[in-house]
Amino acid sequence: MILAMGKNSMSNSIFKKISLIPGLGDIAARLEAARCLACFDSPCQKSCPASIPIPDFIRSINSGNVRHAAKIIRQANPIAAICGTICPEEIFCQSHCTRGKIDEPIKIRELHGYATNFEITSSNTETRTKGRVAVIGSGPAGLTCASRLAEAGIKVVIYEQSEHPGGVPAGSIPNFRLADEIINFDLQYINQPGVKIVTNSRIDNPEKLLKDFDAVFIATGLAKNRQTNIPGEDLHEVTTALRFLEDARSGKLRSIQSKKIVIIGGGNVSLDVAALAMNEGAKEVRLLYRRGPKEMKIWRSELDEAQSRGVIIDFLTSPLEFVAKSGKLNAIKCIRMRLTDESDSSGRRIPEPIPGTECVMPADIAITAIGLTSEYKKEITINDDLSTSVAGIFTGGDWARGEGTIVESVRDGKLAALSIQKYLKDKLS
Amino acid sequence: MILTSPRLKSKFLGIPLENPFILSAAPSTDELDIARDGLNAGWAGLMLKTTSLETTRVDLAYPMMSAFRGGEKLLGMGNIDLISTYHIEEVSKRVSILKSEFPHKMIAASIMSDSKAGWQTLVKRLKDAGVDLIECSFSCPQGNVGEDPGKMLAQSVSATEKVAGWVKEAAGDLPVLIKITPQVTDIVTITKAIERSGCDGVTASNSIPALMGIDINSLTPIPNVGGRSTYSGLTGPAIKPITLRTIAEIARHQPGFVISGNGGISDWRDAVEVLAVGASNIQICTAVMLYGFGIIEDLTSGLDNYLIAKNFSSVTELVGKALPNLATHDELPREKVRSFVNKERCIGCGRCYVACRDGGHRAISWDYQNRLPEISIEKCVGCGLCLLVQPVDECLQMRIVK
Repeated sequence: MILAMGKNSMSNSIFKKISLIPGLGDIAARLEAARCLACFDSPCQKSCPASIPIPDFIRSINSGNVRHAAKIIRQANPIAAICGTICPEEIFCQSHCTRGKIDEPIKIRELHGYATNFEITSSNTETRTKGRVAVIGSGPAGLTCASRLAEAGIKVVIYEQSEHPGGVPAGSIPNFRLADEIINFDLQYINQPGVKIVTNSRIDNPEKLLKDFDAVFIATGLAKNRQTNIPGEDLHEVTTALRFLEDARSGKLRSIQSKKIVIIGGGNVSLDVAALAMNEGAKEVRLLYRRGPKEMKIWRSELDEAQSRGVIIDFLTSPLEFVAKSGKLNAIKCIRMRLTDESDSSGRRIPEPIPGTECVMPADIAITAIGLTSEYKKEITINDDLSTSVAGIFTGGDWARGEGTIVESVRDGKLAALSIQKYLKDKLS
Repeated sequence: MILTSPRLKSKFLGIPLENPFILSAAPSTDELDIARDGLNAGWAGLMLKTTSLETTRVDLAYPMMSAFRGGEKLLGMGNIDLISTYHIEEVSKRVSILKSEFPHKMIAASIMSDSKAGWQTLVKRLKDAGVDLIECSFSCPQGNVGEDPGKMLAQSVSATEKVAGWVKEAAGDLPVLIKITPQVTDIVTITKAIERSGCDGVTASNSIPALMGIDINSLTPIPNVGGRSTYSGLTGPAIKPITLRTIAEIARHQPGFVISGNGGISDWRDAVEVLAVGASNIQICTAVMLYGFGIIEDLTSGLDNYLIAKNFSSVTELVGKALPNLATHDELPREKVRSFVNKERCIGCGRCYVACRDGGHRAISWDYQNRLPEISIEKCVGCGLCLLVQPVDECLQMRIVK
């Protein structure tokens, strides 16, 4: 039996309340950690955008030194609890795990989650306290950058345009994937002396902030859905994925019981919407995607999950018009597609409509999820170190890079914090 | 992350240690650049691999390493290594270099010789080089050099006392440890002889002579050295219980006599155990050879977190803390204990049933319907065998009954 050090009773854990998150118990975690080969060159760590010293924290789990394991993770990744819950390990660390050449790769995210969970249940936050930096946006990139700067003794003010800090994890990831408790736990670490978060505060001209601050980090993310620009999009029953997810997260979603839902798009966001709609009791959930399954930019586990929940997916189908009957959405006129031999910039084959294949899908509610954009235009050029063509302005995250994962925003936040520190050192000395 | 914690600091024979973890006399301390990397990684000090006079012939045979595995895990490591091929001239130089580079780390050296003049020359050379401490190998499994080659010095009370006396005579104020073997009839007769000699303490203990295995295809023992083999020195997790017993036995009979713990310590938990039976610090070799110097991070943080959790203000406070709970068999309480099934934790594997049926007292019956063991309180004698096979923590519990 492991005494005090590694003892982590799952019954005390907030994970218990979240049935969809499979947490490892003490024994399972120890057995899993013992499987780690502790490879010299750590391919897992190399493929982690946050560069977490994975073999090191697994060794500490293995020895029952879970507190230190959590410390190693948090030092590399300030939003450790969020990533320990939902980071897609199969596309990062786990995809390069050497153990997979013997049997199965190590469940790295689950071990990470196990350590973070220990930290949650036995938390004692440490506090520490030249320069002032403004961060625009309180998503993963903004929070990570702010936390790193604060640790270096830099005063940070985060401006968040919405009511709550947290960005995508807090705004539009479905609650059943990521509970508020987990987001709040990470926020608690970031809410340290030296960091101030101002919500309901929209910044239209970041350069103006340079009057009061030594540097500004723009990490607004992509908070707007791309429009389909097809007839009928302005109907009341046609909504965007972000609006749908945000309403669900904030409890403002109106009942969709017994409704037929049609989702347009083929990314992870569309799968989140589909899984959520099934959860909310929709009568039928159908997903339209203009290309084939191979072209979907998604994590397979989420596709499997959506399909196992009963989501119908119509591949190679594109909407032409949202059709109304007595002022309300009634159906979506579609056309079947085929893939041409030409590829687009992402390397995926370009689809084209097959003439004469128009069809009609009945729909009570349509949700568009064809990618994200921002209302802020990019009028600066961005350098590799995340500095920009404007001195003192730095940027990172989805707005700077384009849609990505949370942990890639963590990487951006860390890199920007380093670049900002260098800039401040030169400027203030 | 190199951890420095006030709780981990101690003084060992007057030598300040930043943490209790020392690299033992072994391959990891046999090359200057490797030893340097170890100290840079955060180890508090080192014992340079056992050196000798230039006249001593060191004739190595390869391959020298072998393993004793339990499934995927390496339980024991065997070696037919000998002392260092670097002699006193070179090792003295290294002592001076390391001491100047690492003034705050313990730089110690291990020696072996075959005559009074030999032992005393080695001591004098190292003392001149500025060494912090000398360790004498009286216990290489391949035997000591000298008048009775192939035998270990520390297996003879009189030889041990005599040679240890020579070393201490030359060393004067310089601390001397004798590295002993657990393979003796009565360890305390040896360690008392060392105390009488004036030496400062012991390193308990060395690798244990063992035959690592037989290749059942060729019927050649391992490691296979050109079709033949010899006995190895066994190290690693398998020997920890022997190390614990050796240290406890010395500590019980010679309170206050200094012991440096060595043999089978792999992680911070092992370190806690070895300290708790009376060692003042921990020497590690096999775990470093298998996993690298980096294990120091988990060793130090794990031990420090343990000290915090258990309200110890320093590692010194932990030394010997388990000894009052160690007794002779006749002193043990004779309470009635019985095993009980914790149905909330039982996963229904039936391993306790099989163990008790064929190796215990047939006190456990099996409920085929519900796949649950049932223990008869009348038949159970409380031997505790069932707890050895339990697959999950606390599915079975031993309780005192009236």
